[in-house]
Amino acid sequence: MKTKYNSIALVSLLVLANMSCTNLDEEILQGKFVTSGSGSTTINVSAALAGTYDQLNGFSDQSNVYALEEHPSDEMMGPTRGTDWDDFGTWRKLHQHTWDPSHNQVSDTWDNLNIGSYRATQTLSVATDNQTKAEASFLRAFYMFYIVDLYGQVPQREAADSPDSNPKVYNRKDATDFVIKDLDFAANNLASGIPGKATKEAANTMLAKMYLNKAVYTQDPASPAGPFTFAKADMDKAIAYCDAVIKSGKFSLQPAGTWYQNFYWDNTKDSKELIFVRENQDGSPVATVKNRTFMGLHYNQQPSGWNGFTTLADFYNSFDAKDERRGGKLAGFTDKLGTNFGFLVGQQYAGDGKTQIKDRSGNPLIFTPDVNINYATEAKGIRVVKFPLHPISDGAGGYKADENSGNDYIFLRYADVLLMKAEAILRGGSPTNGDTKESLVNQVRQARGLSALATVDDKAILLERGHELYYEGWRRNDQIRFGTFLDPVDQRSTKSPAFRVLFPIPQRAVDTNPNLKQNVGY
Amino acid sequence: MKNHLYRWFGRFVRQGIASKLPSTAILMTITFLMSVSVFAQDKTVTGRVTDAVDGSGLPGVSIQVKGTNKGTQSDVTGNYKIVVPSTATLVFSFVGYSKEEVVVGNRAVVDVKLGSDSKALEEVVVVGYGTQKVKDATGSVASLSTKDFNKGVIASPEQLLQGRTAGLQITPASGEPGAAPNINIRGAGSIRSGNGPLFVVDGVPLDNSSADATQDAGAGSASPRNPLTFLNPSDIENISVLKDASASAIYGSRGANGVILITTKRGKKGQGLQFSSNTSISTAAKRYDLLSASDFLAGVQKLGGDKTAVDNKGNTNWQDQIFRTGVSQDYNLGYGGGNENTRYRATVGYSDQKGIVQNSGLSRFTGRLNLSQDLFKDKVVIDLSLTGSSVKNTYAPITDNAGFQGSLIGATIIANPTNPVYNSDGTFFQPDDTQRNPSAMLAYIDDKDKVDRWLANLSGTWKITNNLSYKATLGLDRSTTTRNQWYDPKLRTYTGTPTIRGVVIAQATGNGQGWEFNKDVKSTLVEHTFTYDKKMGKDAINAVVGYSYQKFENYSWNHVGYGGTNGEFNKNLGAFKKQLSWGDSTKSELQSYFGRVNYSIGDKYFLTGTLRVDGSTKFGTNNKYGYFPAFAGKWKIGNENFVPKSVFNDLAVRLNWGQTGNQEFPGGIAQAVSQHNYNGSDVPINAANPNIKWETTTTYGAGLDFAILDGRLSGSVDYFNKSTTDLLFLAVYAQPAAVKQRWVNLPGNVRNTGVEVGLNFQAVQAKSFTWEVLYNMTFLKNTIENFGSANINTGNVDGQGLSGAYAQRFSNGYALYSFYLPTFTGLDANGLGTYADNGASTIVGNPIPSFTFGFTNNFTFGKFNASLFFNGSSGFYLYNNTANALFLAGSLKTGHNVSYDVLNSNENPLNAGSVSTRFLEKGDFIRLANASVGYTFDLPASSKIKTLRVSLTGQNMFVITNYSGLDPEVNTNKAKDGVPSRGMDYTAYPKARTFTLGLNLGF
Repeated sequence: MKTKYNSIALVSLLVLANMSCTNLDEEILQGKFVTSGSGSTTINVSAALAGTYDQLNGFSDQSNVYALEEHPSDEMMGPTRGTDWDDFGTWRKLHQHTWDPSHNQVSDTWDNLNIGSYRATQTLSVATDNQTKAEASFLRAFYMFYIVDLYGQVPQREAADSPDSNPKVYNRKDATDFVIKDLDFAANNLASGIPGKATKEAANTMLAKMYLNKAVYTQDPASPAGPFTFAKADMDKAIAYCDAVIKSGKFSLQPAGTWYQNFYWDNTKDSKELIFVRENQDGSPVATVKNRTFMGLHYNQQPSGWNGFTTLADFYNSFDAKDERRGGKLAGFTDKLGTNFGFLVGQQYAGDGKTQIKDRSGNPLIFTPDVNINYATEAKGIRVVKFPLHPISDGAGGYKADENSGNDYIFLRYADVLLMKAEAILRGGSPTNGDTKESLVNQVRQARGLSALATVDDKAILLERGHELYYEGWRRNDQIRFGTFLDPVDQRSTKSPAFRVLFPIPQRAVDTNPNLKQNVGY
Repeated sequence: MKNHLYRWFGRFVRQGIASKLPSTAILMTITFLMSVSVFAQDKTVTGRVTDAVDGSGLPGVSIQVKGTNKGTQSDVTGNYKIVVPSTATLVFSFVGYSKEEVVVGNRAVVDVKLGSDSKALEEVVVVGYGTQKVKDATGSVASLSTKDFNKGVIASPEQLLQGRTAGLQITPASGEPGAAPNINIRGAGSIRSGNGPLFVVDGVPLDNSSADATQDAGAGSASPRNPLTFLNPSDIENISVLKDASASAIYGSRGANGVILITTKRGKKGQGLQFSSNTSISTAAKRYDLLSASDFLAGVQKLGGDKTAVDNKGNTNWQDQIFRTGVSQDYNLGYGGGNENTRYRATVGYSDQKGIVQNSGLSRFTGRLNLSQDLFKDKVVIDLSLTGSSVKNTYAPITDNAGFQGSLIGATIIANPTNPVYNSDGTFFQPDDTQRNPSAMLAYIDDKDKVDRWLANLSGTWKITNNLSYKATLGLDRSTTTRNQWYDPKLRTYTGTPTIRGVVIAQATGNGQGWEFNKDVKSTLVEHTFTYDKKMGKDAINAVVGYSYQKFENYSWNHVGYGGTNGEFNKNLGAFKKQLSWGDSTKSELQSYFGRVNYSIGDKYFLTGTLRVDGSTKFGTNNKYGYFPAFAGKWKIGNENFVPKSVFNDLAVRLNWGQTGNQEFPGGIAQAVSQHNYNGSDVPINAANPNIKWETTTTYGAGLDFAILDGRLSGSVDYFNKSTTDLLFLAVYAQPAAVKQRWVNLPGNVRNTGVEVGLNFQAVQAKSFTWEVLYNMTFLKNTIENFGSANINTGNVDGQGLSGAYAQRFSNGYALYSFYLPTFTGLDANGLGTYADNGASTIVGNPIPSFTFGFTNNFTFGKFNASLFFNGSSGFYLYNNTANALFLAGSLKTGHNVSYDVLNSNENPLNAGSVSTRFLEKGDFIRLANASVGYTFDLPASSKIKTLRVSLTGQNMFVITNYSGLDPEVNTNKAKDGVPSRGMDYTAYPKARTFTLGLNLGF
């Protein structure tokens, strides 16, 4: 008998474990939390809003939204240089207007912008105070503005929607109204503030943009390239919102000779033109501007770049030689690194200012204006340095560029507002406050050291916008409004069909949401 | 149904107290075991076992007391000695011979003659929750034991099997020691990672989540390591591969990719002390054919460069700088023994593998203890298995997806051969921020880890009646990993700035970086099974029912030091100006109910039915439990009267059908999850899918087993048809949404169909010379079906000018991982590439071999034995990303070294290395994978040494292939958006050729 009890005791020992049956509820641990269903944690409103801002970091990359707004235009292209920059043809397709619905950047940009829009929607769904609601509304409008501009249709998913539901889709006209509504709410509820956050002025600037572009956005989808009819009421609205920014008194044009301060490493402190930026700290930039510089500079320059994108010869040639925006030697930068600010043409030099840089095959590095987009050698094409990186000690008595330079990344700038107001007047809006289209354009020109123009027409405004805002991500948007986007340019010899003013809805988006209809022409 | 089961088991299991961990129970039981003494009325029996044909002594024959686990083995001359109860029946069994049972009665000496039998018939295979005679098995199970294993330098258990059995394809990622292989049993069914089989060691299913994910610090990220390296291959007695659903359905939602059951060596009476030592020498089997310094300069000049400008006056063979002859050592010491009631075996092993690339290697220290104790007149058996191991890896900086500067192998290929290794002042020559100096990478990157893993398994079996037994099992598997990576600030070109939890980490160059990755992975298993065994005349029934609960916990916490150091860089995280720590954890539970019935009628008809019900925390709330049934039948036609016994020694057909699942997906995918960042933001990282569930694989198949020519030729032929539905996939999520992709069960299915053949032929069976031939082959076809118009791209192609490039596509009607490429039509007169159809991509082949084979020849000649093992594959393609990125005229012109093929082509340096069929190659190969010769010494009976054997083994002796890369067995991880790739080759760690001298001693 004894053995029997013993054996039961022994076997029982084995049974004694952590043994209660489980109901199989999942736990998420450490640094993460569930935001839906059972066991969910309340979303922290300010953290969710911060996450909505974070999605802006992607704008400073050389690809995606920036690339879609720049490469198809007349100021940028990405030539393939032998074994460099083929990249599946992604850059050539953008410049040559041959993208299709499976183009990788067309697809990725769609996702990035919509994720931003959804984060804003989610924040709005939990926000209780008007400040947060207004910031989130501004950010949603900002992301959606780009979706309207690039793709036309805008999908919308509410935070409470079932995870399997298909997002509803606004057509371009309705989406434009939706964005304006969000911006109105933002403008009415936001105060002034630092440019790193959504402010009343940022909202007013975006409203001006929306009304200026409204004719484009509400155009018949069958003829998306126009001709556009700009309604006087819209232009008056655009003027009113520009005036709101101007009258805030927070901004002024940089005095002549200091235009570079809008972009250089201390732009946070020194620029008076910044309306909306992503703030970067030296050493830890979240939306680094380094890509802007690296994407053009040659490997053997300082900073050592990626030898990629160039501007077009015609765009460079359109500058007045006296225009400080065309660049040249920049004190505190060129004398330390050898590299100029602005447009880089001809022989390139090392930090001592004398040593001629060679390319990787040992030939002199002389940037030439001509480029073959399919077969370019290393030195072909004029490069652009719009965001000079902070020169720091290289530890060996010389200087190098700080790759983690803290230049703020610019979305909206005051000069743009002045030029928008001039354009709205040109398009039939009623002048206000004594401004004329000429006085506004000349305000900008004079600040850049140029002579005043007697008369200003659309050509002059487009040109001025190009010279002022090049490489800041506005060129495609401007060219479409001015009707020059489809025209042949260097390395794109024929006029493009009208449907190219819009990108296609990505194939994978059409495949996953039956409410989306492919854009005309694709 | 599930509620009933739930309550029934709930009552049963809750009778115990809930202790937090089973370790207490284990400890108490061990103590108890040690104190048990032996009571039995026994006598000693001796005898000799001989071959019935030639009368020679048979060594190593298993002699067991029937109905117990008690037993011994015959010695080298065939003699044995055993203490048995007077009523005992002895069972003599030996591979290749028929089993004999002898009642001891009053005899003190029992001599036995064993007649040879067709080999496989009496073999017993380990199946899930039990064992089965091969001849009665209804499912397709391959069983391999020590003698079938690959020999030489073996880093992890699956390498023992590579090529040795039909239907099992093992493709190493690279030649790196400890690299994780891709293991497919009967084809790949999933379109994400998690295609590998379930590993079960002595009954404990392993959590095979790999340990080392590292951060990309500027030269790409590396593949995860093989988590199985913790097992000492020499501790393994047997490996069973459960191939079809009827065999693997007992593992339910984890059985879809097959199951590999590993059984470790256990103690036997008279086992004694064994020692083995192996010393190996490895070299790179093939190197890249790169230009010499003078040819390089001439080449640059020829393409329009200025050779004086690129001439840095040195003359360096960079491959010599990074490759080495790796000398590896392996020592094992084992001691085993036992008596009627207790059996034990303890082993310690030490292995030190040096890779053929500087800095790379793996060292392993293992200890293992197996104990069995019979209690209460053999009514209760307690089994304990305990493994502890400590594996230390050292890594060369080789990654899967480096950009234009390359990781170590890529940087070595492109390094300018006129670059000196050092400057005149002794510092490394690092001219700028684009050219990497491979020697500086080796000196300035210090990357090591240490993985400690414990696997404990305690079970008690209670023979309640003669027919019914109960078994309780506790299993504990725990591994802790610490990996440290140090980047010296003096290392140039490491300029990546990763963002971690919203914080940008400053580049390594100039600042240095220190990383520490810690991981603690734990799984706890509790199982209860009842087994019922009964013979009813000529019929028999065997039934198993059970409950299983397994909990998996995975904690990681990591630290990085960056932004420069206070004082000198000294590999101390605390010395960095900035530090950041972050971590992740997951926990999941699996609760299962299972049962299996084997029923045989008249030794002619065999039926098996299996059901497992699995519930997992990982599944969505709407799909908590999955049901996995399987059925199989076997008809032993050979036992029917109409089959002539003179022709067929065995003849049987098998049929099977079953459903199994796959739940190898990360936890937390069913719910919306956000993550805290250090900048104060919360960012969603997963979107909810409350419907998410396991993948289901439905399999049917048929098999034929036969033996003819007195059993000298035996084999089996199997047909299988597997279809996997509810494919788990990280799919594009309709925007706007919190994340880009979300886990879903995709519509459509992946079908694998194929035929496996295994043959075993005793070609010569003379006394002085034997020749055994083992052959296996597999024909496989893989197709995606009912996929609609969806296309999923993968197979990233990396390198200069290849951003965003990919080479593979999942598309309806084609195999998984099919290559989707423009067709290259040659270089034109200007040396520029031309492409068919304007460069449009089409599907052009796939990387899954349609035919694989393994061919083993075993010889004995007197005291010598020898073995030659060939394996090969055909009908598949590889994408040579290395050539695509690096072997181009434009690469040479811009000062990067290339292969001689480039110098001899007319390619224009302006020609882009566009992804195309230009770099797609057939991978067909035949390899002499393993060759060995051994000699067993004749020792006098008086010798203290009982056995002495020396052997010489060669691995990867040669490979015959037209593939231009280093080796056709390669699989660099080129996943795109988390979708795995296959058959991509990008600057992978080269494969070694290894010679091993081995010594085995028994005392």
